[in-house]
Amino acid sequence: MVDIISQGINLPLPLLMLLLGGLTSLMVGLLSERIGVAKLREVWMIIVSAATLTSIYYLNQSVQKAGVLVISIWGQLPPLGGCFEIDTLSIFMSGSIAVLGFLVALYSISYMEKESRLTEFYTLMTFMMAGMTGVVMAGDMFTLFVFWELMGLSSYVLVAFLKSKWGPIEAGFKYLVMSATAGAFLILSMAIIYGMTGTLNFAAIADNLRGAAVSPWIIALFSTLVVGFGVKSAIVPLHTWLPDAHPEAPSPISALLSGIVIETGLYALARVLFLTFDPGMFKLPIAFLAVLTMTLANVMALLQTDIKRLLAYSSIAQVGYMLIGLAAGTTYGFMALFLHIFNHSMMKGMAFLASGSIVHETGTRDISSLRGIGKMMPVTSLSLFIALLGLGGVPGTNGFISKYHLFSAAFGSGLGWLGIMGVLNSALSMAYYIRIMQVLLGSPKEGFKANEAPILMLTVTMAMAAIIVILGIWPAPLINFATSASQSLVEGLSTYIGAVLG
Amino acid sequence: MVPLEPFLVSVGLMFVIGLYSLMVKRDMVRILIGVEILFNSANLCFIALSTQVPGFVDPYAHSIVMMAIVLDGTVIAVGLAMVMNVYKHYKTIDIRKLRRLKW
Amino acid sequence: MDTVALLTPLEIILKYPGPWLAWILPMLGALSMPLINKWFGHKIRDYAAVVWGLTAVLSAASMVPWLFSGHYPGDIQIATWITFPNGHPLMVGVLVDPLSIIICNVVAFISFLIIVYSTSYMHGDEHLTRFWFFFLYFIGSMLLLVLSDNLIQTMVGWEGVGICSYGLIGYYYRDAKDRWLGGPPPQKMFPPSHCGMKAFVVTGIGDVLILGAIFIIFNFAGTLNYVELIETAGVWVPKIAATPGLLALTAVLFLGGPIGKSAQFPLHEWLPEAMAGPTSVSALIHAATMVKAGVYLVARFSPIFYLGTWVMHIPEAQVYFITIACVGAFTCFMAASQALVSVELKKILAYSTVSQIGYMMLGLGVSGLSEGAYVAGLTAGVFHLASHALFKAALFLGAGSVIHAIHTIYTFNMGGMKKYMPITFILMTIATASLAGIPPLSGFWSKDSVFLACLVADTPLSMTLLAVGAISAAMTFFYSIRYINITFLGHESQHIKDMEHHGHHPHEAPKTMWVPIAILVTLVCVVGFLGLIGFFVPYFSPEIFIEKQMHAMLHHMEIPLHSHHLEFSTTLTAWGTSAAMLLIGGVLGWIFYLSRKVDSGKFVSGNPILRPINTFLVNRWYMNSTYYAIFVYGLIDFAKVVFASMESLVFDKITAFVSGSTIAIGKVLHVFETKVYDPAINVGLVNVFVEGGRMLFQDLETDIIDEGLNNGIPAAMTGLHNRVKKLQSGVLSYNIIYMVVIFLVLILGFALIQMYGVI
Repeated sequence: MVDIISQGINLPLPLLMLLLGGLTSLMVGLLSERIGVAKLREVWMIIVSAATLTSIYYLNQSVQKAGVLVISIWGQLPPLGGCFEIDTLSIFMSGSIAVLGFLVALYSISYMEKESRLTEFYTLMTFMMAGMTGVVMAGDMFTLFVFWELMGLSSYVLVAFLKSKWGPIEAGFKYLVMSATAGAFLILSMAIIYGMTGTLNFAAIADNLRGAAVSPWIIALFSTLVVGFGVKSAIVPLHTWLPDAHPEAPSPISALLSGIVIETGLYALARVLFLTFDPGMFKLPIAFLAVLTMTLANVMALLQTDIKRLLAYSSIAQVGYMLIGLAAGTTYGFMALFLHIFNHSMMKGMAFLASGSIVHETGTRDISSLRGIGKMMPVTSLSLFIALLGLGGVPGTNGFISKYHLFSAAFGSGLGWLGIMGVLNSALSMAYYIRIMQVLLGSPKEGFKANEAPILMLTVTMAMAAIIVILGIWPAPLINFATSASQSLVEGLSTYIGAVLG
Repeated sequence: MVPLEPFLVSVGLMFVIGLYSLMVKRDMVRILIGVEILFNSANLCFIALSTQVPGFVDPYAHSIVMMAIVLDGTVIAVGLAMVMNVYKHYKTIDIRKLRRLKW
Repeated sequence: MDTVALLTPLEIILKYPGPWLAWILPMLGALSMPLINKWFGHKIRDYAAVVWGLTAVLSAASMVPWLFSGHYPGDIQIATWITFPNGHPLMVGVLVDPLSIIICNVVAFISFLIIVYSTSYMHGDEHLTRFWFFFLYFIGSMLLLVLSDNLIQTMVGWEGVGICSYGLIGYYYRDAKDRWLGGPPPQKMFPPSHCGMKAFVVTGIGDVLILGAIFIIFNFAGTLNYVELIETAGVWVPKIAATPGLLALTAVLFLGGPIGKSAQFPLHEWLPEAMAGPTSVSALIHAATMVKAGVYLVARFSPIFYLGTWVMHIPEAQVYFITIACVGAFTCFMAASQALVSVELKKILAYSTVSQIGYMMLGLGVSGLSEGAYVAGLTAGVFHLASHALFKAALFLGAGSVIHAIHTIYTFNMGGMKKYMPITFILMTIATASLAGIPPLSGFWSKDSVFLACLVADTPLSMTLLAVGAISAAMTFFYSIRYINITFLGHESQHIKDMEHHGHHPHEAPKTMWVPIAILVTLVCVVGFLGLIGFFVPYFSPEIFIEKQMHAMLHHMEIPLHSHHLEFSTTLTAWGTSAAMLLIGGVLGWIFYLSRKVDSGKFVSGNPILRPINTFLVNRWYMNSTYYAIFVYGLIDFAKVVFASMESLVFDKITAFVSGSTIAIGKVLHVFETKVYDPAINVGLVNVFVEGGRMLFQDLETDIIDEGLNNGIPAAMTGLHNRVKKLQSGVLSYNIIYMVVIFLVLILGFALIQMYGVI
């Protein structure tokens, strides 16, 4: 069951690939400028993403054999030193990260063609993915924090990437301040954990702290954890950076941010909350936050005029749905949570990419001026349409499958009112999705011309649309994977603890 | 055993001061300093709790604090770079002028 | 049935290619049609369509040896599709047993012949690629429907044929004037797009009903695989029957699908309108295959209800059989009566189809009315299915040739076609004779087997239905003589004379058109002849052959059968009934049509009894108009009322809900104050009631319900948005304040929960 790999600097292979890939990406970028070979950096980015995907596949096989894989980073063995603890859940999340990262890298080859400072772009994107992979594979709180900050740093700069405009700068600054504050809260929570147990290792925390009686310290710990992780996860009212940051970021980065960075925050919240507390304890507060998040985000999204801002609010609402799964606290609830994480990454990622294509071709983000775009960009509009159907939870798309599981998990764990709120919010959200669909299918104004997006962007969006529809009709393999992921979290707790503590 | 209460009180005070700077101050650099104070209060909490083990001071917390200081510093550095960019666009570093993105 | 062990899917398909390729290849063919058209051009595309049809025939034919050998693979499953938490996983599979093999072959063979016919009939049409796409996809879906081994796959095929039927009926969706159906004016005429939609909607009603039945069955049985359903019927049927009425409800809901798809009463109105499509489509879908899908499904599911009725002795299960028998018999009668007076050639054939399917349903229905009649009824239904497919397809193709030649659909524009189209005349007459049930053609034997099944069942209900069926048989012969006479015999109509005058001579159909009809008619004769020989040598009789197959299939399913010895007297009674009905119909037909002694038109309009009956029949028993009045025009008018009220109020009252409802509440209060309170104080009690009523209706209804629901919810949401959006102010300091606030709220909230123990 336990597989502790040797001492020395050890990193899981995908993480190692991403980190090294990021470092070399800098050199490759400089090299490509010197030699004059175009697209070298892009190709290197694709190679790195593809290699990460394959290495995750092989890592999955080791994890399946071993149950839980513990990799100690340097020096001391856990629980004294830092470690990576990789179980099926980590594989699931890093798989989602790698898949979306690969697709976005493909897309941004075409999208970011005319931008400058591309070396920094790809390097930062690689580091962001590395940070996320590190977060999902972390075995102790501090490792998680280090990679959390890595992910955050890269994302601050990426949001403010197009620094020649005022929008990204303002959004980036606000994002940075709020996220840094949350980081401070996180360190505080780590301090509290350390004060109570003397260690920061997840397994040791689960062994010691779980099921303890509620004391003021536990309450403070819970609150700091929620605030600390909640800013990145866009839980209301900690979400206020998101409607500014996601529209202003370049579209591939928006897709990554909405698609997987927020979800990594939610993963971290789920993991740490589950390992530290008994699910029955945080059921009500998380349910309250879920309702608040869903409702507020859906209401705010109703009359937005900027398409990317609307999608950003929609992301916040989707996080609300995912919190329903977290509030349920059972294996089924967590399965629904992780299933929706993957599905949302596909749907929202693709929605941002498709709307990025539209913005790329027409130069405007205003919804009402995009009327009739469906006739001129049929393929992109079709994929955006499918993504919106999925986000609204229409049967036949994978969004329906995961929403169904989320709500039925809520009903199953006694939070019936939460499930009903979820369904009502889902119906409400359809109102603004249909608004976009109307615009797509409307008739164009005079003099409105736009070409179809370049072939690479089309391929990526169509591939993701196909994934959405196929997973909607045949969800069985994904559901099995998500179930085993959530089982390794909930029911495999003793295995998790035993892997480190023996 | 070093008494814990003074440490915790100072942590709490620093926390509040940091949050106050964030909430009230107008100058962006002061806001970043507020973030820095927040970070430092959390680090101080770590150090404070590391003294509670009878007999010796746990070096684990200290190593964590060292790494945390590095990370905080990086974040603040990036923040200051952003402040410079903001100045280029807005010609001011008053946070209340950064209100163009709303609703 | 043997369930084959799970090898890899590809291995299984290679081991039993027939059942799988039969439906996969036509679907691939459909997908390939646009590509072939683009790369190779029109001619190769048409040949390719024929080739794809041929692959379906060959795949289906490869399964026939299993019929003769007696060993068939049964349920072949290749992969798991959906896993349910508690219950059997749903597998992708095919069920190969005599029922599916027979129907599969009938479908594939007739489809192939019709493809050949269509290459000539539809020649020159510029949208032919779309036609081939839908056609081939239809064949694939139909074969999938017939071959699949579980209800969900059947439903996939069911919906597939539904969408192809919609696409093919509405093939001329651009609604060129000459494609409209109905009339002649002043009767209402319908465009093809409307007809396609009507077919889709009406069969869709049936689909919803059968979905309800599937849900109920799945809830109690935990599986949807036919083999497993029959095997475990002893467990779940009593569970359903534990709730009184639920089994009957399930049976009726389940029958809703076949009733819709096979155009039985009350979901029959789409089939006459479906004649708007090209004739090959009418021949294929609405004569030979799609409408038989319902019959197939009724037959496929009947063992379960048979077990319920006669083995588990649950009387409710018999509702299945009673319902379908009564529906079948009534439809048979009703449609035959409507065929008596129709003026469009294809519509006569359409009503005839509905009527004949009524026979099949009748046969399947009476099979469960008594224990000994099961095999007889099943045989009757399947035999009449196959035999009807043959001759009705031939009739439709022939009618298509006639219509193609003289460019009119109305029978009064035809007449005397015998001398222009002799081959078609002979072929259609033979097929019509089979339709009417003239011995020794196949139609006689199959219709006779339905009568036989009724007689074998020997219950009062089956005898009554036999009488209904017999009367319909007389009517069938009558209208057969009618339309043969109107079309081919007698004098030329004015329309044809005009055509000749303009130089367009009606000519015989080309070889590609009459050869398929000839093949079908030959088969009809062959089957008839075999039936005749089979009377003396039972081995050759097709009826006995199907009966043996059904027997073997039921035996494999381990269904206990009550063996019934067929008395010769029963057979004689059946023949006697057929002969009597033929005589009646024939005599009347001779009087009115063949000998022209009495002009039918004058006779009917002169007679005070027959004239209203004629009007009643011509207006399709007023059912079509009733359906339209309630469901189409009624709903449109209702929608107009709702829209008008929303329209006028939306533009006037887009302002915030608060002001609106405040005004409303204020108004109510004001009215209450002035109109109720004051007069009450002033002893104006009558006023109170009057005004109270007005206030209740007007203010409650219009202000609160109308405004509340139609404007209130959107206005509430937008109002909420406008108030809430101020929170996202963009000021960083406020954002930080939110963070701190939620932090404190969480701590406080948690502490409160702890103190008051609410977890």
